[in-house]
Amino acid sequence: MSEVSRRDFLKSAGLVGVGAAVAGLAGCGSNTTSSNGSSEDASAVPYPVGVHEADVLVIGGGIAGCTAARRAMAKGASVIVVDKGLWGHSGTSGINWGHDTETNEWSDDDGSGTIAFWCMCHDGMPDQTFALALCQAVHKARPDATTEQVGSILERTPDNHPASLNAVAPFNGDHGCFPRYFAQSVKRLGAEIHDRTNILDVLLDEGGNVAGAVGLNLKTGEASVFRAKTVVMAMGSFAWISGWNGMSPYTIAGPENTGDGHRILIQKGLAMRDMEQEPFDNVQWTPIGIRQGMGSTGGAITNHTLLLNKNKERITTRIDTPPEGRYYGNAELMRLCVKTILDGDATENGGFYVDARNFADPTNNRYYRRCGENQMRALGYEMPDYVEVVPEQWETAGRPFNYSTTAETEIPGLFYAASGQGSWFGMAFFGAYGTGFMAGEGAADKAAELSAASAIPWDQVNGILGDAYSLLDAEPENGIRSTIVFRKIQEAYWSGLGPIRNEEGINATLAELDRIESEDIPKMFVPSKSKQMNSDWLRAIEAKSLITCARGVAQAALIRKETRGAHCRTDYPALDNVNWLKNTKVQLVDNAWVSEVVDIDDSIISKEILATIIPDFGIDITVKPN
Amino acid sequence: MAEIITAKVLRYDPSTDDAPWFQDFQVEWVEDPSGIMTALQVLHAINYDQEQIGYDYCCRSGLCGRCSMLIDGKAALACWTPMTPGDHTFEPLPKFPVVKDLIVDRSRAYERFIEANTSIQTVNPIVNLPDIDYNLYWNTLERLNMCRECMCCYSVCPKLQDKGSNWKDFSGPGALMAIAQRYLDTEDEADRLAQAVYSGLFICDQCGECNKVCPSYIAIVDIIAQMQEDATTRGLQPSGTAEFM
Repeated sequence: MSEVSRRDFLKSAGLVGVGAAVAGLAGCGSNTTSSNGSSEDASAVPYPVGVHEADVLVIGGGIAGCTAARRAMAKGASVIVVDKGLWGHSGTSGINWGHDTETNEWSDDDGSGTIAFWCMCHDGMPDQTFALALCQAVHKARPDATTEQVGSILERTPDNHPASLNAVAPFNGDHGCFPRYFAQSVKRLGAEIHDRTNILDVLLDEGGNVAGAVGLNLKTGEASVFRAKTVVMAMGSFAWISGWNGMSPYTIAGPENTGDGHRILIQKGLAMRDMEQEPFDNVQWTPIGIRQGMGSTGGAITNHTLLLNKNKERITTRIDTPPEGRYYGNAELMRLCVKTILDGDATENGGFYVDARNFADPTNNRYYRRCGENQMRALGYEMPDYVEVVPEQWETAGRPFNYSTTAETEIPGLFYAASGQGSWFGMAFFGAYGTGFMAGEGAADKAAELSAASAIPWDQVNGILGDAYSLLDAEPENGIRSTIVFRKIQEAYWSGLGPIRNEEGINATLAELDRIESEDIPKMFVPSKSKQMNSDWLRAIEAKSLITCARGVAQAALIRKETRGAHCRTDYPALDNVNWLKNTKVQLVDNAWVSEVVDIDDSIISKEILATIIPDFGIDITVKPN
Repeated sequence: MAEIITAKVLRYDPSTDDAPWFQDFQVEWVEDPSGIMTALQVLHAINYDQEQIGYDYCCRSGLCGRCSMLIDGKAALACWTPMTPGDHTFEPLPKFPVVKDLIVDRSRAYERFIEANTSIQTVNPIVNLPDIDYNLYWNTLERLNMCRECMCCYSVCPKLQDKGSNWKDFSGPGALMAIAQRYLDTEDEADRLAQAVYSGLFICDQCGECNKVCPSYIAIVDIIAQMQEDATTRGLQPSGTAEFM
C-alpha cells in the first residue's frame, strides 16, 4: 500500500496520531529492528504485531506443507509452519480419511519411466520438464515407506500383503495415509507451529525477493509477521468456492480451502496455468448432513463397474474398454458423468447410483468398506444397496505457470507445493508429496545460501493489516453480512463454472461477480466486532480470494474451447488432440486479465506420441449404456 | 407446521463475556429422505441464517474430528450425531479451555499424542512394507489409524476429571492407543509396553467410558486390558504411584 493510501486508511479508521503510541507493542519481539531503504520501521504500524523468524516459512499444514517442513528441517533449516485451521486437521488433508497414495519408489528407474504414464493420465497437459523433476523427487522421497515410518499403516490385503505389493512399477497405489501423523512429526521435529492463523499476504523486499508473510491469529485477532529467507506456499485448493448444497458448499474439500494462496500469486502478477481444471467426484446425496464422498468407487479406485445411471446401467460402457491394464482416471469419469447428465440419464437429484452391495468386500478400498457399518452405528441409517450420489468438487488444479524444477515460482525465494496437476486423474497425493519434498528442499538450499532474511517491509505490513482490520470495523449502510456475500460468490461460481460449462454461462458468472464486487462488497460487514475466532471476519477477508480465483477460472475456461481433463464445455464437447495439446495461461496485469493458450512443453514425449496414448473422448460420447 | 429444534447453545467469548451463558435458537427440522438431520446441520443453520456462533468443523462425515463437543451432555462429533425435533443442548467439550462458544483448545491432550511418538522406531529405516496379519490389520490397526484426535475420550475419562485428576501421570486413553498402535504392529522395535506403563497404563481401571464415545469405535478398554495383562506378565506392574513428584 502506498504512503498516501496508508494515511487514508489511518484517517478513515480514526487512528491518526494513535499509531505511535500503540506501535510500542510491536517492539516487544526480538526481530523488529527497522528496515533499510524506503520501508518504514515497526513504530509506524498502528497495530500490535508479533514478529517470528526462521530460515524457512511454510504456509499450510497438509501433506504438501508437512512434507516441505520435514524436508527443510532434515536439511538443517529452522522452520515455521503456519496453518489456517486446527493443526493436523486443516483443509482437505486434515480430513484424514486415509488418503490414497501413489508412488514410484520401487521403480527400477529414477522416475523417468513414470513420466509417460503421468502425461497420459493428465491428458497431455503436464509441463514435462517439471513433471520429470516431480517423478524423480517422488522416487527419492519414498512416500509410501515414509508414510508408514511416520505412523500410518497402509492397507493390507486378506492374504496379509501390502496393497502396493512393493511392486516394481512406474506407478503404484495404496490406501490409508493419515496426514495427522505427518503433522505430529513436524511438531516433534521442532518446527514453530502457528495454527489457526490466516496468512493475509506474502511480503516482498525492494528487489522483489520474498521477505516473509503477514497473518492474523484467528484465536485472538492479533497480527503476526513471519520473516524468513525463503517461503513455501502450500495453501491448498480453492474448492470451497463451489456452490451451496443446503448445508455447506458443493465440495469434498475443507473450509480452509478458499484460495488465499492463488489470490496472493495472482495479485502479485504471476501467470497461472490451467486454472479451468476443476476436478469433481461424487458424494452420497442422503443423509444430507454427511454427504460422504464415494464417487471414486464407481470408476477409478477399485473397478469401474459400480457407477450407474438412473436405470442402474453402468455409465462406463459409454466408451470402449479402456486400454489394457489401466483404470479410469477421475477426470475421465467426470466427463462420463457430465455426459450422462446431459443425456438426461441422471438420477432425480442430478447424479448417479453407486452399487454398494459389495462395499464391505475386502477387495474394496479400505475407506469405503466401513461406510455402511459406520452410518448404521453412528446414525442408525441403513445404507441402501444403490446409493444415490451427486457431483461435488474436490480439488483445484491451477498453479503458477512458470515453476522451476526446484518448485520455485517467478518470485525469488517463493516456493510452491500442491497436488496441482496430480489432481485431475486422482493422484493428488503424488503431486502434493512430491512438490512438498521439492519445495522443502529448494527452500532450505536457497535459505542456506542467504546470510539473512530480507528486512520487513513495514509499509506493506501496514497496508495489509489496514485492509484486514478495516473489514472488521466497517459499518456500511444497509450492510450485508459477510457470510451472505461469501455464499453469493459461491453460487455465482457454481452457476457457470460448475461441472457443466459453456460460454454463455461463464459470462453470466463473470457478470454476477462484477455485480457482487460493485454492489455487495462495499456493503459487506461483520456484525460481531470481537477479534476472538470471528468466522464472519474471516469470511470477509476470504471473499477477495474467492472472487479472484473465480475470475481466474473463468478466464481460463473461456479460452479452452474444447473439453479436456476436468473441464467440460457443452459448446465444445470434443477432446481435440490435434489442436488443443495446450495449456491455458491467465494473468492479472495492471488490474486487467490477460489470457492466452500456449503449446505444451513436449520436450520429453512428443505431441504426436501423446496424441496416440491419451484417451480420446470428451463429452461427445455417443455409445449408449448397455 | 414444520417441526422445530430448540438448540440451547452455551455461548462464551472470553474477550467480551463475564461468564458462559445459554442462548436458545429455533431451527426448522430439515426433511430428508433418510429421516436424519445432524447436529452439525443445526449449528450451520444457526450460524448462516441467524447469527454467528463459534464452532469448528471440516469434513461433515465423521472423519476429521474437529466438531467434537457435548451434545445433550454426551461427548460426540456434531456431524455424526442425529437429531430429533425438540430441545437439545450444545456445550463445549469439558476439561479444555474455551476459545469461543463451542470451540475449545485441546492442546493439553494433543501434546500427549506428540509425546507418545507414533513414528515407528526401527534400527534401519523401512524399505519395503512388510506383511501384517490381516485380522490384526483390519480389526485393530486400521481402527487405531482412524483415531480422530477428537479428544472425546479425554473429556469423559474419570481418571482425568477434577477430583483425583491424573493429568500428571496418565497420558490418557487416546495417547495410550497411539502407543498401542506401535506395540501391536509388527515393525516397531522400541519397548512400547514399557512406554505404556510409564504413561500410566495401570491408572486405567477399565471403566469403559471412553469406548462409549469413540467415534471410530476403537476398542480402547480391550486394548488397554491386553497391554495391562502383557505388562503384568513381564513384571512391569507398578506397586503404586508417587503422591507428588
